[in-house]
Amino acid sequence: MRSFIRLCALAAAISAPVVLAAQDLAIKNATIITITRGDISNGTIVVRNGKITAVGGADVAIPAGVKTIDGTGKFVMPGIIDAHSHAALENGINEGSESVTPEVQVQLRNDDPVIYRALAGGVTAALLLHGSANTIGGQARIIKMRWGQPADSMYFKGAFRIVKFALGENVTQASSTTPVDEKRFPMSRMGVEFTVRYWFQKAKEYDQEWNEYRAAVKTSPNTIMPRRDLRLEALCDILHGDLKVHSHSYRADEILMLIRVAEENGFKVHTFQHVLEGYKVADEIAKHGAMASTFADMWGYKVEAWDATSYNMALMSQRGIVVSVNSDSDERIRRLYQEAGVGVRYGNMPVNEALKMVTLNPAKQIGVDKMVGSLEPGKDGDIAIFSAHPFAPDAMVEYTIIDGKVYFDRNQASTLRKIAGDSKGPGGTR
Amino acid sequence: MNRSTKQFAMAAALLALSSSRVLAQASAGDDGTYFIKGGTIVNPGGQRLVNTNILVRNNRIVEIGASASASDAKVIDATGKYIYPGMIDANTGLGLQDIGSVQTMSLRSELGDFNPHIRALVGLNVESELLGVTRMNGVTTVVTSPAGGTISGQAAMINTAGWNWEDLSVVKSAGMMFTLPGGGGRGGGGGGRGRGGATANPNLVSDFAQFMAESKAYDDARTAGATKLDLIYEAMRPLYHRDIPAIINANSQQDILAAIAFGEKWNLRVVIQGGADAWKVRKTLADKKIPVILSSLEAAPTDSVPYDEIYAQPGLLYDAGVKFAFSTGQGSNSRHVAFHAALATAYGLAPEGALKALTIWPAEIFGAEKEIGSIEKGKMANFFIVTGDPLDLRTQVSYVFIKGRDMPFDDRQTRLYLKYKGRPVPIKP
Amino acid sequence: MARRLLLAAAALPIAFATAVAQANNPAAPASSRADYALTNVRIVVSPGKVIERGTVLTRDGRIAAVGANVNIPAGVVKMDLAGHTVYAGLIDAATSIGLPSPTRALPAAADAGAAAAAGRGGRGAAGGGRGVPVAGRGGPPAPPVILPEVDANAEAADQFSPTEDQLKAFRAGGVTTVGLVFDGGIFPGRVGAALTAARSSGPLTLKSDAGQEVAFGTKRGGVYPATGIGVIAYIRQAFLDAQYESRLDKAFKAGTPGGRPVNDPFRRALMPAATNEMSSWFVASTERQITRVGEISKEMGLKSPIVVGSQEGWRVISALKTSGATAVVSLQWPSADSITGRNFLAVGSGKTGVAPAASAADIAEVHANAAALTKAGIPVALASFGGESGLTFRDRIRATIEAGMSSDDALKAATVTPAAVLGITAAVGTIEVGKLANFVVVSGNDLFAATNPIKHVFIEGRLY
Repeated sequence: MRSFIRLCALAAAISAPVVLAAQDLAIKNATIITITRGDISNGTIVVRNGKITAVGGADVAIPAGVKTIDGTGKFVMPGIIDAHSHAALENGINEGSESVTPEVQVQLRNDDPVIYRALAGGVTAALLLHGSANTIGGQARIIKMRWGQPADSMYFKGAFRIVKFALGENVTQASSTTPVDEKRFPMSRMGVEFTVRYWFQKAKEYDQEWNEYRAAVKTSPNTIMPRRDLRLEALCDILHGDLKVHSHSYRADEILMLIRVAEENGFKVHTFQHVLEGYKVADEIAKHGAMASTFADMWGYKVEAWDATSYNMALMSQRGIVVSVNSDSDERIRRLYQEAGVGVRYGNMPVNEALKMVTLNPAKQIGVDKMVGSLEPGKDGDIAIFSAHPFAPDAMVEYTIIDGKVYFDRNQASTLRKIAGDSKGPGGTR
Repeated sequence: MNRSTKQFAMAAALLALSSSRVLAQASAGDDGTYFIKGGTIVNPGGQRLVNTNILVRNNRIVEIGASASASDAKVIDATGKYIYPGMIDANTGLGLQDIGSVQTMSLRSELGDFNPHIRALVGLNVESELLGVTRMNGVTTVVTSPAGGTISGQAAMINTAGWNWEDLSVVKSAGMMFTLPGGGGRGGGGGGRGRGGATANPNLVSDFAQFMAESKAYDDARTAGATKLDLIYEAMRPLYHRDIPAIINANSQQDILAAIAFGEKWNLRVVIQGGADAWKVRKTLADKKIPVILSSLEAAPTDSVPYDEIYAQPGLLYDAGVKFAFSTGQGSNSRHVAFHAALATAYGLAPEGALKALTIWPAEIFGAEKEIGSIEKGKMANFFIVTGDPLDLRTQVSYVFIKGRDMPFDDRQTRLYLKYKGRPVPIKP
Repeated sequence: MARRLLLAAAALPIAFATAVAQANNPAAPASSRADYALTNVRIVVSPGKVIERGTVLTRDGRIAAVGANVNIPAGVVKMDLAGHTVYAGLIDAATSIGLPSPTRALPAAADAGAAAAAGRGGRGAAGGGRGVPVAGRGGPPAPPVILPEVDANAEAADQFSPTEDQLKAFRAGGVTTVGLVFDGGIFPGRVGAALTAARSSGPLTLKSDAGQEVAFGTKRGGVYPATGIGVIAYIRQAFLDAQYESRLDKAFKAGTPGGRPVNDPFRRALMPAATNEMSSWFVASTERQITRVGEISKEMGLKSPIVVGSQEGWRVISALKTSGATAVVSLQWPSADSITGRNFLAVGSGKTGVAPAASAADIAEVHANAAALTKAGIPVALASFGGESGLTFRDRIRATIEAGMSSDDALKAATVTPAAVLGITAAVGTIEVGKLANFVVVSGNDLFAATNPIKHVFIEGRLY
């Protein structure tokens, strides 16, 4: 114990002055991209006790003794939120043995270095999803990237409970070489639709059984409590709105299918994931009230991604859907700001609408938009500081801050220039 | 908010333009005469030419300057815009593959270990949807390469638009793709199926040495006047005469040094492909003038290296004087090679270096610098017109010219975009 | 590591010397039982309770008298042990030595798919097999096969089948009793306790239902649960099903309408553990596994779970305390470089992006796990789980003491606490009248000193 503390203390000492336990922090002289209240040039932001207390111009007072970062020339934006990742998980991401397993929950691996590299890309929170092997897969974990903390200290308190659904090629194991007579049901989009209907019918019967019990036990205390079934309980949680559905989807047909099955069975698809052909049924998605979390430019790698376009973000957004752009990758999670910018290049989304796709919109999709996603007083001090506008060619993350605590500081990081012993060049020691 | 509204209005105007061009033309472009007026030309290593004109005729740039004009030309107003030389992705599978997971759409490798006689050029599908999507972001030229085996075959440098593969071609044989056996490094691209079977050849190292020796002996004999042709060995001759480079897949420091030694042994022009550890040997690469085709910067580092190794390496190479180019390695997002360069710029590469590595350097590496890589009189008219720095995500692409042809915005993604943008709101029953 | 090897090498001549001593003792041929009087010996009755010079008398394999002044009846073999100390035989709280692996190969006819289809240990009726019933598929039902990884009725004590050499190795390190814990599976069976006497001396079993084992392994053959994430849900559902069975059982006995148990053997096997009539032994080593045990225990209302392994226990002391756990601490220390959290040092603060190599202090920290848990007030039993026992077990206890655990605490963790956690306190763990005559005798006055060879080991009154 002693030595671990000693090493941590050493790390902290190396990282001084910015990496401190204190969760008070201020940034001044920066361009502040608030997301909800426009951009502020020569702005100041103050975080006290982990929460933003003030955002404004040069006139905002910084309380005495609060550590202050000089943001001259820098751009400050809300911490980036990844609405779809499988990083930092262990013991499998797909309980693919059966097609319906909502009782399962993914497990966080809190010391996965991907967390650190995501921090270095300005990411402060992520939705860690079950994989797409199942029609109804497992439950997710939502974390803040509090690198260095125990697993249960990284969970984002107050976030939704989220379960993964999946449609299309993956869940039907379309590319599997398993002989047909050994395949698992379903092996077609038609079978996927029936699977959803079948299990929600079972769930409704289960719900009824418990309702009857709860009514009966009031008058007959000896009534035997029914068997608890975690799988059906999870499905009932979906029916009751306590467990939000995030569905992996590609094609327009399957998106529309799930909307209709959900409506017939009395639940809601909260967010479509990938939703590459969402632009084709954008009005239907909007009317159902679902949100969308998509790729910026992934396309063409399989048949169901053939009609994907980078204009999807702009088109869905224009039809009133809350759109996020996600990584689904340990690589893209490092540069989600670039992914959001692709929405400007294709379809010319307004710059701050595009930035919403990695801040406020994913926050809505994981149920934390009251806490994070924009820079406003009262929200969490989750902040990314860039060397330039995040869509500019020279945009690099210099600091990433969670709850007012600096978790990534480029000055203290191990960088290639430092390793190579080569600090010259236009990049200097950056 | 005002600014946003303005941007949307601009976008709408642009789209009105592009959609009319979609309707007017389903074409690989018109070999017409174009007069592009009032733009700012940004060339690698050159000064910006502000408010200048370009005259394009018969696929080429025939005049540049304030005084350039032509009465028969179609006029394109580039006032307030920037004109960049077409960007180059120095390694892709474009034209050879479309949907990666569909085997019949991904025919990028041939049976056998030693395939110098295999040529990418002749297997290119000019109607590949990937080409259209690629060019409309200003990537006018790519190197497309065969994969697999020890000698995968000959790469071609091609434009991303054309009527057939001959029309597409910039450099028919741009280099020979190698993955040296016995490296054991991080390299991809190897692992080709052994000759006549699915199992790897256990004698690959010695077979390869023998193949090199025999092909060299053949070359010597041919040079001395022998006339009997061997199509396979014949394909090796341009390598021995240093007419084309040996593009050697090498990532670890050890593999890069092995590739250099291999080139010296056989007196080949070596280009390193991949180059993950190139920064560790950057002085050697600079001294020996060995260029590097960097593999995709859109990659995650291993846990044991600095988090920014992949992004920061190009800056180190540039500072050390190593010539390099960017590549995506694949096809669907070859269009975004500029964004790789943006990452490199953010992490220390001089903007000037980024532009060179996207244009004139890959042209030089593959011997196409007289044709492409910059906007100069006499060169092929490969350039694109943008509202700002193409590395900036906020920049919009207004026009793309390939081989002097104004490319219509009719790529798969734009088609789908315009179709569904125009979808009426569903009528409620 | 080098030091450990040296110690192991040094141990060989000791074992040899012990064997010679036994062979030279005509009064006590191996495996014969006599009644003994150990005289003039220093007696550690229990941790902290010492009789500096006294006698221990055995009769019929049990302790008949202990004290400074004990009358020695006729016919008893007297052993003058001046200069020696007698301790209660050590208890290795968890070992898999001598047990079959829960992941052992199945008989050829019984593949995993058949086992899953048969449903024993699988999900119950409402679980519904692999998704949706497929019309027109499937032949005759497969015969039931019980996968060893979910054979909750299996008893480790019943399956304990060590070789004589394995038993000798235990005894050479003073280990007279072992806790038997399967290595792997999900519900591989019940934890037991056994003596390490020679097999010729009779049955070794002391207890067959010391606890219900739960481990985070997976089921083979790609059937549910095929992954670690599925296993957590499976374990929770299994406890719920057992609790449901218990409700039905009670209702049936009370004559409540609808109260008829399902009588599924898997559910019935888990009933005692699920209702806290038996302790649950979770195999959990890492920080996150131990936290998970806490979560499952809390959700299922399990009191005082046993955490077998606990190698990173010092990192999650609050989780262990909150769940009221007893830590059965494996002394197979993980490499200090592999501890959860090393990656935190690897990036961001280091020069190379690689975590600094573990220092001597880091290694000491790992070795101090048991000491840290003890200091925090968590009951600790020491075990060799995951590795060899016997002499190396004693060496590792010594290292644990060097890392900060008091000798008395270490002795307690190797005698009294494991006896309690295994539910065999009445029989073993201290030198008190009525308990089994299980002793270890060393020259000098410290069982754990490297220089003090083990002279004699008694199990149930037999001299080894």
